[in-house]
Amino acid sequence: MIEVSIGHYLTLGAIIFTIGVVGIFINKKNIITILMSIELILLAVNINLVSFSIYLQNITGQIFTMFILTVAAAEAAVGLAIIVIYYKNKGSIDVEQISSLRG
Amino acid sequence: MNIALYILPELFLFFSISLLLMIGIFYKGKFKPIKFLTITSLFFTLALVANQPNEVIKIFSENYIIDNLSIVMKILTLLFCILVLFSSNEYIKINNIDKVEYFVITLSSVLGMLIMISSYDLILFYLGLELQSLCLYILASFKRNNERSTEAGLKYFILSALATGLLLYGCSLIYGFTGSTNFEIISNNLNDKNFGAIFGIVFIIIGLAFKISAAPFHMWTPDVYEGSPTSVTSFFAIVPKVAALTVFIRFMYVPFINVVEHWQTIVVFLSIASMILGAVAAIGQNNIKRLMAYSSIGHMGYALAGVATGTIEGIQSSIIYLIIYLVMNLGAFACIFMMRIENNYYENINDLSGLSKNQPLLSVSFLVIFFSLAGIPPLAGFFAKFYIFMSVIKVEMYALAIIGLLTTVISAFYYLRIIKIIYFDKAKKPFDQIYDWGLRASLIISTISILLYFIYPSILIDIIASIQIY
Repeated sequence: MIEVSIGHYLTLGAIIFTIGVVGIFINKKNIITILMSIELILLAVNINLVSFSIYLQNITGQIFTMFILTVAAAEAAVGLAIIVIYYKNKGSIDVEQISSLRG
Repeated sequence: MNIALYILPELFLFFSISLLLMIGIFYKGKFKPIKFLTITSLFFTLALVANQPNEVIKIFSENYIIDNLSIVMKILTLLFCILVLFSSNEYIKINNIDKVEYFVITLSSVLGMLIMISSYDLILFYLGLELQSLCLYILASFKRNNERSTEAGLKYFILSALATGLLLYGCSLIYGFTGSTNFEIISNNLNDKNFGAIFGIVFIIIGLAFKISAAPFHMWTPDVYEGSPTSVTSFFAIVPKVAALTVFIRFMYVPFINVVEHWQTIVVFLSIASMILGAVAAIGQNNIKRLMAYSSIGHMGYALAGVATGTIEGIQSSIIYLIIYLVMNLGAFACIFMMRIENNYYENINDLSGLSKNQPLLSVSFLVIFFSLAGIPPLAGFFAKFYIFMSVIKVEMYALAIIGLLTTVISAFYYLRIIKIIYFDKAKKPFDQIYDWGLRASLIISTISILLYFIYPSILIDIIASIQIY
């Protein structure tokens, strides 16, 4: 059995973070996927913060996590609201069709 | 003295937002005095900020700082917010977006900016930033039956949320490798050998560069500026820049000052990239709002050049640059608000052709503001650039100064092109000449102060020279 150390948690966080960032850039279909990727990034940050908090024996990281969770919920609400009004105007939420502004 | 007295401006603003929100609930639809109440509460907040003691105070276990920098920047934020509301008054009335929510959300984003400016801790900074950006997402998509506005809001939301994610990842690394979220403790624990934390600094700089729209993280700026309603664009172009630059300065000079040689290269790169992109990409633009977006990217590049020097003179010159740039921007957007024929607003540069034959006074304002943006003496824009280049040359960063000067020349081309279209092209249908007094006042204030800055520049310089970084 290997001992699970801070390094493993950080690697997990880094992997989830990378999946989130890559998910935003290579996604060609749906905006909802982008929202999910953003949530993944925030969760990676939370994993980082909590593991650091335990490693350092310092409660600040866990408090930071609570704030991030709360704000992420608000952000998702605002994001979904914007997607809904966009859908009402345009009739689709295809990423490739979001291109009326360019130049 | 009680701690609550030190955060009186923020408390006052918070309670006025709550009050206006309650009014909004009980008056369905429009409520006429809301504009007056909003501006009054901003004025009172401004007075409360100006009354704060002129010393360095850290409250809430040293997580919230009130010093000269924060007081000056808060005054600027509030003042420019008032001026933007005055100048966009007519636009929001005609476009039917003068609802209670518009003002409440504007005020909330200002509250977020005030918190950002004073924050001395990563958590508090994050909360202020999110309060500000959540409100800005909503403002960008405020014309909710307009496809372009909602698209602007959507793009801004996605890219800004990504930037916030990167910034938070940086914050988590900084916290883990220095053991605290307080700026001063981070600064004490940070050194050259702390590679994890330096990795985090890169992420934080990327996130902050996104917020001040520095290249290569500028992608959202042109789209959002073009798509959102002009009143919101002028708010975007002016008010959040103050808070974003303050935060940038505070991050670089308080927690990260011990690793200055590591972040300096990155900031120099951001600055050069923004200056070049702002100069080159604006050349082919036909929409004046899009052109202002590229111009703002370029100007943020010059402001970052001052930050990159690593000296207190550099910071002071970049703050002076920011102030003068915002005054010019206010004037430019006041001019854009005047491009109107019977409730229709025009945005193309070609719509301006031959303006001088019909409206000589407005054309002169355009001339002054765009010459100043191009940096032609003796207008204020020239002095702003002069201070920046002086402080850059003082620390012997010649490459940065030379590239800055070259891009100034390139960017002069597209500013002068607009002047040429106004003065030498064939006249079109004249714009309406009946303006709201707020619009008129903000155009007059900005034009006169740009024009007459060179007579008595020490008013501004004396105020800024008192700024120190703690």
